[in-house]
Amino acid sequence: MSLKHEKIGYGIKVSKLLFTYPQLILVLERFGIKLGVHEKTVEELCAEYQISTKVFLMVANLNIDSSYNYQLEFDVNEVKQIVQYLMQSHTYYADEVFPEIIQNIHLMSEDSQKPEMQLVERFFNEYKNEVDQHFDYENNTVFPYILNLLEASAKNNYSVIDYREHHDDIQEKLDDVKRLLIEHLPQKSNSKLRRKILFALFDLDADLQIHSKIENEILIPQVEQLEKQNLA
Amino acid sequence: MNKPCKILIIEPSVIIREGIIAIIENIKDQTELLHVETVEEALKTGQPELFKMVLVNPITFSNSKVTLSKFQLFFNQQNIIGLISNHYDRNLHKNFTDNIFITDSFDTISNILAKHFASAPQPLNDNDSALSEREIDVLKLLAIGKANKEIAEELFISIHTVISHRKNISNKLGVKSTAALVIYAVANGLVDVDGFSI
Repeated sequence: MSLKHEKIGYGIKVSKLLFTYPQLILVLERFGIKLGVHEKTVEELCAEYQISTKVFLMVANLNIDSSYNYQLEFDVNEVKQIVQYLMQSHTYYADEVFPEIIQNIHLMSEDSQKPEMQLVERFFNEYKNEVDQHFDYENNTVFPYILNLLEASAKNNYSVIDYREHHDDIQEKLDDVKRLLIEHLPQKSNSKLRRKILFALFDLDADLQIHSKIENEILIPQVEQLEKQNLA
Repeated sequence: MNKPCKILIIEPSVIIREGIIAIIENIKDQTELLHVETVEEALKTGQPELFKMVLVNPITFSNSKVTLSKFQLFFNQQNIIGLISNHYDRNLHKNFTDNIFITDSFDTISNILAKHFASAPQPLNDNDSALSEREIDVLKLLAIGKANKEIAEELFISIHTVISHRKNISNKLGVKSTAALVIYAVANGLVDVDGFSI
């Protein structure tokens, strides 16, 4: 009757988890956990890699059910791990996801010889530049600030509240590209390329949504608390 | 074939949710109930046209990026029923086909539900997404790079009207950015491609 997934707990075997939710393979990778997990439980594996079970379960549960209700209390070390996880995700988008989509869109544009497809290529390249800027800003300004704050040596001239405002909605243009490719632009040949692009876009979209959720609903409130404590 | 009647309930309160489910099950056997807590989850349910009824608490829109109009585009508007649990601007109720209030009696609620069970499935109104002539005029000018103010002057309409046309165009086509609207216009021959330097 319910759409909800069962929440995963610390005692579950990781191998079992991955067979049910293979998307978590990517989560493990971002935490630096190597496959060949044998019979180990979440708790055992987290201990081995010195990752907070709480952080791991928060991210994993959000990945299988984005409405998951997480605890909002993380200590300094856990916030660091969240930041590291987000940085790993940025690397994955920049090094793997975007180059592949960009290349396929380029091939699709060449293949079709249609002006609108050339425009789609330009549109997506511009979008990618925006996303790059956003990630650069996070990697070079926001995350170092948070890490500094955790070391209690933060400067007072910046606040994550600025960050929240800066946090553009990068989802919207992604939706536009999907809509154009599914609904508005006729396809003459080569359905393979467009399908590949669309699958990649949907995967990216789902991943980015969880990514933003971790940033907006977990990281920022946590850091705001820290800022208040530092001021007090 | 007697298929179970699919109903989607979007309600964060477990008490209200279980209450409405109990009432539904009381008046109709063959139902397939899905419940979610947020509008975002509701949009992920897929095949929106299969839901005979969508019961939504409007408070779920307040902490959501999904707008009511997007929601109405996704589900069949005639099937959306408001589930009103708090003090809520009465005018906003008009957004929904019917409303169930938390203070309603069992009979009132049953009557509203029974009415919707009885109604024939509404065909999806796909024609709604066709652009009007005026919207096409606006889109053409937009696509050649004219600003809202210039479009207003050229079409002898107010800038507010231009903005409202743009909103409607975006809602109908499902694309928001100007660049994507331009691509649509090019693909549909609304603008001469020679004017572009690609």
